[in-house]
Amino acid sequence: MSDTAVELRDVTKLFLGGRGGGEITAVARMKLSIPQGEFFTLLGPSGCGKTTTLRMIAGFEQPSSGEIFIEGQPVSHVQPNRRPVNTVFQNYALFPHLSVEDNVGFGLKVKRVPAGERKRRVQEALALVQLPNLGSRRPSQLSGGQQQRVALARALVNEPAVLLLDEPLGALDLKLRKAVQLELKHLQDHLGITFIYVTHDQEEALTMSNRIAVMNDGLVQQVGTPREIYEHPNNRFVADFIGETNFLPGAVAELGDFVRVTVNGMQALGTADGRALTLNQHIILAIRPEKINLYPHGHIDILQTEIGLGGEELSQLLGGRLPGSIRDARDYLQLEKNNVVLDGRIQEAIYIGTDVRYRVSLTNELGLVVRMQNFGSRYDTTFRTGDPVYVHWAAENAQVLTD
Amino acid sequence: MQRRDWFSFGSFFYWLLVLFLYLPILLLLVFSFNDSESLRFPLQGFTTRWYSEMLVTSGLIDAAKNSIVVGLLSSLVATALGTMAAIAIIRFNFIGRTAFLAVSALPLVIPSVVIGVALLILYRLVFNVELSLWTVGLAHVVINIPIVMLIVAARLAGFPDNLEEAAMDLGTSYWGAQLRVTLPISFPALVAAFLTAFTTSFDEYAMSVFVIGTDATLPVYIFSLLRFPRRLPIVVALGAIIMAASVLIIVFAERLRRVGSEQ
Repeated sequence: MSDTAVELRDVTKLFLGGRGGGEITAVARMKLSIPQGEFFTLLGPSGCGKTTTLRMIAGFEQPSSGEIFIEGQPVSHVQPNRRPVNTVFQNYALFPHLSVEDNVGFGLKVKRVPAGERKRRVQEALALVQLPNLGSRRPSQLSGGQQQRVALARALVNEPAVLLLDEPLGALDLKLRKAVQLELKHLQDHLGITFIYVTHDQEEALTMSNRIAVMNDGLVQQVGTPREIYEHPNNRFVADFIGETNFLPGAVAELGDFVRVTVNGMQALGTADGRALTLNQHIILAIRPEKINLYPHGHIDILQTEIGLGGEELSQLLGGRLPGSIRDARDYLQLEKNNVVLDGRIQEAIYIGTDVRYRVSLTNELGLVVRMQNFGSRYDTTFRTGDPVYVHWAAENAQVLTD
Repeated sequence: MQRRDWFSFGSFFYWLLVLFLYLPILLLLVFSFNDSESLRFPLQGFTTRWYSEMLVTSGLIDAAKNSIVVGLLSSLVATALGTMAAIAIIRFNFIGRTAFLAVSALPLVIPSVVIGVALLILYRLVFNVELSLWTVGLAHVVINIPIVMLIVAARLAGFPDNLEEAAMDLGTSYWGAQLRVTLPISFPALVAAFLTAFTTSFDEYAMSVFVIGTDATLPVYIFSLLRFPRRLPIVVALGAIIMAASVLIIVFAERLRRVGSEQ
């Protein structure tokens, strides 16, 4: 008995079809190892191969090459009904001719579980998904959210080693979806069953998963925890698909702990996250809007900025002027090591409640999107269109991508 | 106020239409109890002797039995084949699917007389087989397969195609899924298709007359009776019975079809 719940080795899936009658590569040489008890998500846009991968694990599709292991056993030629996995389908696939109770107990009945035990386990499963009294209803009499829970109970009652979920929340409205996301996460935590979840919603993936595999065009782009994927994307696709990112094309100027790059004549710093780079190599600098800070031109009272109490007030308090607390903003910003400071001008300022979103143009037609959190009027530094600003970020927050 | 006016205006035409459609059949019913050998007004008095005479006309009773047997058997075969065709078309994506659908539906479009002639040539000249109730039954299967296929396909299209996958995910084999899920859900449609096929077969004349042997089916027998005007009232009585039975079957089949599609 292995500790790995599911493993894919070099799994490829080809389909016939496409224009000209050729082959479509739905999944290409996929390698995954999912440990027991993990909430693992396959994330990607439509057509990236995530559902095909899930169906291969379930047994509804056969890999064209490669091998799939469930709990250490190769399953590539095992029928779906003999695998220790159960699926929650996107459209729930509840049996319309059976009651809720009979739906949930279907798998048990097929396995010839005696009626008494079956009834007990069905009741437990329904209680687990918080639908204890709806046993005698028909699926058509339930709301979408309730149907989804029945589908979940129907899968879980069989105590599978792995639960496969194919975008189960797609049909729910936003508020319900967010509530159920958390419920699913807690449920998985409580049960300890390995969940393999498929979605195209990156926020959903970040919320629920222990680890995420980002996929595109049949290839795994990156596998990691939500934090790893978000803070250290491997390539342009991941940086672009997850959240929002600014991309600045440029070239490597100097290597070191951090990488100095030139972008349209400007100098900037970023981190290579272990990627091997050569001088003058074409790169893309990726920086997220919330990691960028904007400072007004002019002089800054350092103490005012850092402590919230200006030099005047403090010297009044202490009786005497404190020298050197007034600096040019640019000098102040470059006090700290490995900061990037660029000149910019506000093109657009949009207030969206939690933040203000700015479009800032850098010196040569290059622009950035910047988000400044709305801390309230006391700390407000709202810029207006046309204001010159200093654009600032810490080098470790920008990724140098080769794509 | 305006709505009610339109309603009575429309309902007037509705009843006119009903009258137009069913008056001839009602006349049939009336004349079946008429105490006269000729079918004309004025009515001569009430009698049930045509019904009793009909029951002892052996040719008639034999033909009725033949029609029932041929109807049941050919409908069973057509339902089985048509259902399999429906499952193939709705649940599977295979090369030539559209062509298969078109070819399977063809007998609906071709006049049954033409099919009759074609089958006659096939039976006698190509295969050199004697004409009998079997040849008739086969012909009925041919025209009933598309009817069954369309009725069952409509039902299958009405529920999601991954119910079978869900059943297999929960532990059944493919055939187990058909048995536990597909069949129960589409059962009303199957029965409706069977009954529709039976009615079609029972009623079939144009094609049957070409490929029939010495044993007659009911429609063939009745037509042959028309040469003897004195025998007409018996036919009228039989017609009344068949009409009543058909109405009951169709109503029942329609009820079942509705039950199926409401699930």
